[in-house]
Amino acid sequence: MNLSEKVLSDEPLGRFLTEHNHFGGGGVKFKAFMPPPKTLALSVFRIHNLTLDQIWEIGENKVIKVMEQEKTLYGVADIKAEIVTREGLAIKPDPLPSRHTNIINWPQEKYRQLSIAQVLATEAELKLKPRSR
Amino acid sequence: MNTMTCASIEQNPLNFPRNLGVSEDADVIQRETDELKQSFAQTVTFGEHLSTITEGLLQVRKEYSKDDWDGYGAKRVDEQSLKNALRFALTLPASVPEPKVDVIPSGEVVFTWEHGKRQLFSVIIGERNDLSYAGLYGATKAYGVEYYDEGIPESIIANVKRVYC
Repeated sequence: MNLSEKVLSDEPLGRFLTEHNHFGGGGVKFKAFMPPPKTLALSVFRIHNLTLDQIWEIGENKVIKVMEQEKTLYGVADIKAEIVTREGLAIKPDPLPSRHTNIINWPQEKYRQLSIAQVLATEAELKLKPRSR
Repeated sequence: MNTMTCASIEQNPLNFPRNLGVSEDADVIQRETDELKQSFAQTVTFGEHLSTITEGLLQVRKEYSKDDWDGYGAKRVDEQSLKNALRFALTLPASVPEPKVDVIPSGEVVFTWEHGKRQLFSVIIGERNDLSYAGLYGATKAYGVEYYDEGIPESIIANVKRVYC
């Protein structure tokens, strides 16, 4: 794994989808990109150079399994870093778990958060996890 | 499926001014107004419209009743936001298509109208009668906050209309 220390503008970031209405109609819904109210830090992973199977492995082991609630991994919203920064947000890599990153610098105003989340959802590519047989 | 033209949205006929009277006559007026609202709500089109939205509100109340419902730290649905959302729904014009009802990580109810990938408008129903809204119409964005007192602000109705134009 050779990720640069700083997230590059054309790097893909993955927001793992844990709710059935995080997506629909072939696309991602803005709700998937609304930040948590306490931290205003949106959790994503750097998914550059990963196969889909590797992405699902990260989603299951580093996201779903560590959640306090029992959740289902439905898929991932794949979005380019430059789209995030174009909306005035910043990307702050975390040391652990590896590849984890937070999208920060959200405005306090709810209507601005909503507008940004709408744009991110529209620009993201939806990748659904195949259902287990 | 509701269809509508750009010109067809009008204010809700149930949008009566708030009764500020304190006399017995004021109580009578309030009671008669409530009865009139009830009879409107029982008409087929109007009743169905409200029924779908209220079912949506009951559904989200049940589904998002616990903190951390998304695994990312979301708050459980806010009861005041639910009550305000019901009041908002009661005054939506009948010609407005039914919005999708959902809850966002802050625990507030959100109504969304969508008509294609980049044609959508959402309103977050806050606990203090604040309506934070944002719309995406192709390459154009609109956003802001209004306050809901006796009727739905014109800017909200105009933005819903814009989704379908």
